[in-house]
Amino acid sequence: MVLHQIIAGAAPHDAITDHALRLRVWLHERDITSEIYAGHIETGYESPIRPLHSYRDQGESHLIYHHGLGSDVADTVIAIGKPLILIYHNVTPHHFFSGIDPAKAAASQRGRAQLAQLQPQTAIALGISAVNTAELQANSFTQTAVLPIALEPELYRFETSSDIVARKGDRPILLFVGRLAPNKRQEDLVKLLYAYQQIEPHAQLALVGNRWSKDYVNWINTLASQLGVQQSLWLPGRVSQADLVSYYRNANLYISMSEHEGFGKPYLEAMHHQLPILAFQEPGTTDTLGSAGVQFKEKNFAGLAELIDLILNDRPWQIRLVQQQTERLARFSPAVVKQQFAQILTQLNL
Amino acid sequence: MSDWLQFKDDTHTPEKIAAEINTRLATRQANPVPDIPAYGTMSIMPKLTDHDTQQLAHHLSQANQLYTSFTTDPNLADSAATRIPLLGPLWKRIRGEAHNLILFYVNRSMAEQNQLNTHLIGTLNELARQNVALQQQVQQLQAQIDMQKQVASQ
Repeated sequence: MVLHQIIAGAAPHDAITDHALRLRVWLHERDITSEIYAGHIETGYESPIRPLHSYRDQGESHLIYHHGLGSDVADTVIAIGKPLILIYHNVTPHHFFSGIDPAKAAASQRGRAQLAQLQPQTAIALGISAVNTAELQANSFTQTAVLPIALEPELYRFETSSDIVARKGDRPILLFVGRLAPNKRQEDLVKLLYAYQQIEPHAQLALVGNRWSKDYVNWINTLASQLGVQQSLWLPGRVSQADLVSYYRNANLYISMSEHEGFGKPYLEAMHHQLPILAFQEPGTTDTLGSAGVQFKEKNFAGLAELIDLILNDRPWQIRLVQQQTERLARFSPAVVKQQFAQILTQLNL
Repeated sequence: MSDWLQFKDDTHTPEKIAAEINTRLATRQANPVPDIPAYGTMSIMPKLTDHDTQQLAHHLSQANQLYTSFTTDPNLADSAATRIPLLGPLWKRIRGEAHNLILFYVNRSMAEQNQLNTHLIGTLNELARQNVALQQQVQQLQAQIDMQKQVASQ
C-alpha cells in the first residue's frame, strides 16, 4: 500500500515538517510505502523529503496533505484530485498582517480560501487541536477528528551549551520560543521585561525563533532600545536543536503573550523540560495547555511582573505547576498520538 | 481584577494571588510601561464634521482606505503562446516563476513602504484628532470671552 504526504515547505525544526516525518515513521511501521513531498525545501536541509515536482501517481487511493498558509502547493494538490487526508495546521488570521505586510496578509486569505476548495475531495480532515477541528467543521468538513502533534523526547537529548550557561550567569531568564511574527506579540514580552526589571533588575528575556518578519524584528529591537532593556534581550533567531534544549534548560519561566497559536508546540517542549508556563489565554493555547500552567486574560504588565516574581520565588508552587504540566504532556506522547493516527487509518481501511 | 488569572492549585487560588498582586502593586508604585502602540496599529481617523474640514476629511478618509489596498497577486492571463501544445505549459510555468520572483522583491519593498505609510497615516490621524480637540477648545474659550464681553458691557 502507498500513502504519500505533501507539505508546502520543509525546514529543520519546523512543526509541520517534524509532524510529517513522524507520520512517515508510523506509516512505514504499518508497511505502508510513504514519501514526503514539499513545494519548497530549505537550502542545505538534509532530510528524506523530496521536491513536489518529483511526485508521480503510484495508484495510491489517498494522499495526506498538510495545510497551512496559502500556497501553490494546495492548488497542485487540488489538481492531482485524489481523496485527501487533510491535516489542518491552522492559518494565522490575515488581520495580524493587514496594513503591515500585504504578501503575508494575502497568503493568509488564500490559505482560508484554499481550505474551502479542498473540502470536496477530503475524505477526512484532521485538526491538530480542537480549535482547528472546529474551524474545519465550520468550513463544512463533515468527517473530522483531532490529531495533535506528538512530542518526541529523544529529539531533546543534547548536552547543555556552555556558551548559553556562561551568558546566563545567575540572572533569571524568561523564555519564549516561536517565529518572530506580529500574532506572537513578542513586543508585549519586551514591555513585560521592562516592568519585571523594576522588581528584578537582572532579569533577561530570550526570544528564540525564526526571524520570519524582518520588520517585526526591527520593531522589537527599537522598542527594547526605547525601554532601555536591549542589553537584557536575547534575539538569537532560529537556533540548532542542541541550543534550543539549552535555552529550555537554562530558562526559569516559559512565558507567552501570543494572541494566536495554531497549536503551540513550544508549550510541549517547555512541559518536557519541566519549565513552569505562564501564558496569555487564547483558544490555541488553552487547547494545548488544558488547565495546566498559569493562564491570564489581561495584559496588565505591572501585575504580570508581580506574578512572575511570585512564581519564581515560590519553589513548591513551581513544582506543583510542573507536575500538572507533566500530566498534561502525557496526552501528546508519541504512543498516544500514534494510536489516534492508527484509528483514523483503520477508519479509512488503510 | 480577580478573574484575569486561571490556574489550578491546592495551595493558592487565583483570587488570593490576584489580591496579593494588588497589594504589591499598591506598595511598589513602579513606573508604568510607556504607552507605546502595538506593532502595526495606529491612531484611528477622527470624526471631522466641521464645514471647514471637509477637504481634510476627504483626503484623510481616502488615505485611510487606500494605504493597504495594494494588489500583490500575479496577473497572468492565458495567451496564444501558453496554448501551444507542449511548449505552452512550459512557457506558462517559466512566465509564472518570473512573475513570482518579481513579486517577491516588490512585496518586500511594499511591506516596508506599508510600515512607513502606517506611521504617516497614523501621524496625520493623530494630528487631525489634536486639531479637532484644539478647535473645540478654541470655540469654548471664544464662547467664554463672548460671554464675559456681554457681562462687561451690561
